[in-house]
Parts: sequence; C-alpha cells; structure tokens
Amino acid sequence: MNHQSVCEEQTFHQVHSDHSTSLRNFLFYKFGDLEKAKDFAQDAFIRLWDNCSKVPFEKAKSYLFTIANRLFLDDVDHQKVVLKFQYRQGTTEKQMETNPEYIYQHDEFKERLELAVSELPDKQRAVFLLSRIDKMKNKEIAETLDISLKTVEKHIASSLQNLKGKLDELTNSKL
Amino acid sequence: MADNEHNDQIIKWLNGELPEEQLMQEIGADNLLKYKQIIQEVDQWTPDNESVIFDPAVVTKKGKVMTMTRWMSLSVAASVVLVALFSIWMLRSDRTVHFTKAGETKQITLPDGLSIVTLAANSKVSWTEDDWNSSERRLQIDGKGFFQVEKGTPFSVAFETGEVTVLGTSFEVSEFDESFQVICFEGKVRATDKNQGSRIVSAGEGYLYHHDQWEEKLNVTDTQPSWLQEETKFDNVPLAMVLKTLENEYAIQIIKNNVEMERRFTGSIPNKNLALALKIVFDPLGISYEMKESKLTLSE
Repeated sequence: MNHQSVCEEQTFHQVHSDHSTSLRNFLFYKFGDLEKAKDFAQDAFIRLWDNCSKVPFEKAKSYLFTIANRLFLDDVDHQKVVLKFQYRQGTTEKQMETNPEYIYQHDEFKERLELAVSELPDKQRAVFLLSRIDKMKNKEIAETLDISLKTVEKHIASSLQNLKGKLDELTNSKL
Repeated sequence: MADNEHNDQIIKWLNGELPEEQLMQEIGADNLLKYKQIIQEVDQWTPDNESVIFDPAVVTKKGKVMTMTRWMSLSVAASVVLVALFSIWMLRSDRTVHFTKAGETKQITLPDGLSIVTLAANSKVSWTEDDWNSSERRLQIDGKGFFQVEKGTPFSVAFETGEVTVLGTSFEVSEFDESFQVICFEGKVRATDKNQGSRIVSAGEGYLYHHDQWEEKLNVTDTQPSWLQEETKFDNVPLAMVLKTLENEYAIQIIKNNVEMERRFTGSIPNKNLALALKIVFDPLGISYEMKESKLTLSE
C-alpha cells in the first residue's frame, strides 16, 4: 500500500510530471481551446495542492481530471472551434508516406480529418484522442474519467465509424 | 451511422488482439483501409510540441494561492497576484513563453535571431506571433530581465505599469508590485509609465518609478547587471524591491508584518547564500527575522 502524500512537494511534482500533459490534452480534446486547457489544468493542480490532505495519492489523477472538467463546464465562454494539431516531434518522412492503397486522397487529408474530429461529440472525441495520442490504455481511461470500460470501448469504436462517415461525406460532396 | 455489431472486433483489432485479415472479412477491404488511414494519421498528432506546460514550483512555493478562474475577467484589480502568477495577457493563442524558476537565470535568443534577454529568477517573458513583425519588435515581461538589443526596428518591452522602447542597446528592466526600475548600460532607451510620463535613460543612468512617481536619476558605473555574476546590487531602492529579489532568488515567502517597506537600502547581496544575504539586508536596518521552512517572518 502506497503511503505517499500529495502534500509532500516531491510527490506533488511527481504527480505533475506524470499527468499535467495528458490533463491539458484531455481538456483540449474535449473543449477545443488550447490556452484555456492549459489554464484550467493549472487551476486543477492548484486545487489539488490546496486540498492535498484530502486526496489520497492513488486518487490524485482522477481528482485532477474531475475538477478540471467541472471547471471547464462552469466556464460560460464556450466556443465551438476546429481543433488543430501539430505532428509529433520525431515523426519521420517514412511514417508520413502515403500507402498507395489508401482510399482517401492524401491532399488536405489532415485538414478534413481535423474538421471531422472537431465534429465528434465532445466526450467521444476526448476518449478517442486520449487513446490514440496519449496512448492511454482503455482501462486507464475508464478509471481516470470514472466511466465503464464498455463505455470507453464504445466511444473509441464510434469515433472511428463517425470519422469514416464524415470523411466519406466530405469526399463525396467534392465530386 | 454506428454499426454496433463490429464494435468489439474493431476494439480487438486496435488492441492487437484480432488479425487484420479477420477484420477485413467482417467489414470489407475498403472500410479497413479507411480505418487504417485515419488511425495512422491521428497517431502522429499532438496538440503542442512543448513539453513543460507550467511550473509546479509556482504552485508549491507560493503556498495557498488564489484560484485562476478569477483572472478570466480582466477587471481583476489584484495586480500583486498578477505579478506573482501568470500574466493575464495569456489569453491569445500562439504565444511563446519563457520563464525561470526561483533561483534560476536563463538566456533566451529573441525571434530576430540576434537580440538576447537574460531572465533573472522567477521571471517570465512572452510574445505572440503578431508582436514580431516587419515594423516592430514587442514582448512582455513579468519580473526582471537584462536585454541586449540589436539595432533594427523599434523594440519594446511591456509590463504592467509601463513600457520601455529602444533602438539597439542593452538595459535592465526590473518590475515589482506597481513599480519598476530601468537601468541602461549601453545606448539609450525611453521608459514610459502607464500615465504617459517618460524618461530617456542613457548609458550609465537609471530611474526608479515608484508609487506613481519618477525618482531622481541614478548613476550606474557597471556595464552589465551584477546578478549575472550571482550578486544583486541595490542603490537606494525601497525595501520592497529587495524583499522581492530575496523571494525570487531563494524561493522563500516573506511575512512582512508591520515592517516599514519604504525605507531605502543600498548594498549588494549574494544570490547563493541566504544566511549572508539576510544579515546584509536586515542587520543594518535593525529588523529581526526568523526563518522556518520556506517562510521568513520579519519584525521590528
């Protein structure tokens, strides 16, 4: 049984090092605003520090995600945006090469996919991207967001299907 | 159009538990290729390549701080909090930020490729893409920085209570509470306060703007700031400025009680020897102090 306390600075720094990026990413995936995602992620950490004696170390991660999510939901100034992404540092030319068998045109594929991703339901999109980009295991996502494993799997499968549907629409409409 | 029948198989395929060929048999080659293309693309994505999002030390060192939601509204008057926490100018996207932790200094090359800012401890400098264009160079600072600016388009450094504009020179800006000090080492700068008063500061000169007033010109003989050599020099500055430096260099929190903040201090304190620094500051002024954990309590 782990007896680390979040009130110990070193432990708190460890929690930060382990989870700050994925927390910020989760908020970005769900709500679309990168700057705000960073701000609310920071706010969640401040609250964790203020309440450190009440949060067991094992619960720190889900506490952070729950608080940050609620803060964002309370923020009235929501705007629907298209999420934009960069390529991960170290992505090689080879990885970017198009498989000649692929069906969707390579040209502007990223832009169309970003648009399709932005149109997914918020929660579904967040789960899908946490899985693919942050490489979180399905079980981990379930525990962190306090939802069932079945729900996580449903979100991921639905995302793929929805994305394919939207890309098909976008491609057909160009003909 | 959700196709629930195949959900399980898609999940298994993604987890590596189901071979591609089998999935292909279920959903067809076209659909499989489409899924593969989508997954391959998304897997390369990241929201942002910057690794540190914010410094956890800001949270833990400053003790119980005010929550960030307050500064979503621009009418917050708690400017002291703004100086201690992140600037409210962080509302725009595409902002580049560099910051130092307590006790750290860092040298940063600016977007023109030639100008440099050396940030003192616990300070922050930032700019957006728009700030750096063909007719001017602008950035914002919280804390203290030493600027070496290459001649070129007008260069301005903005902060809460004013702004410094230069045309190729080296100078130091130090802002604290609602005051600031500008010292010019080379060339010439113009420092403007928020009420539009200004001073031209030439090489070897310095000015302190404190409680909404410009004080008398200071004479400076150094050619660069002392804190680049791990020692901070003060010339007749308010005690508040010295305490701010102690907090930034040593990551301590100072409880001032009723100690008079307006008395002046002249002298030099080491940046890497807290016990000595405290003696140098407080003994001549007759102030007692007690150091416990990271808190320094003053009394007189």
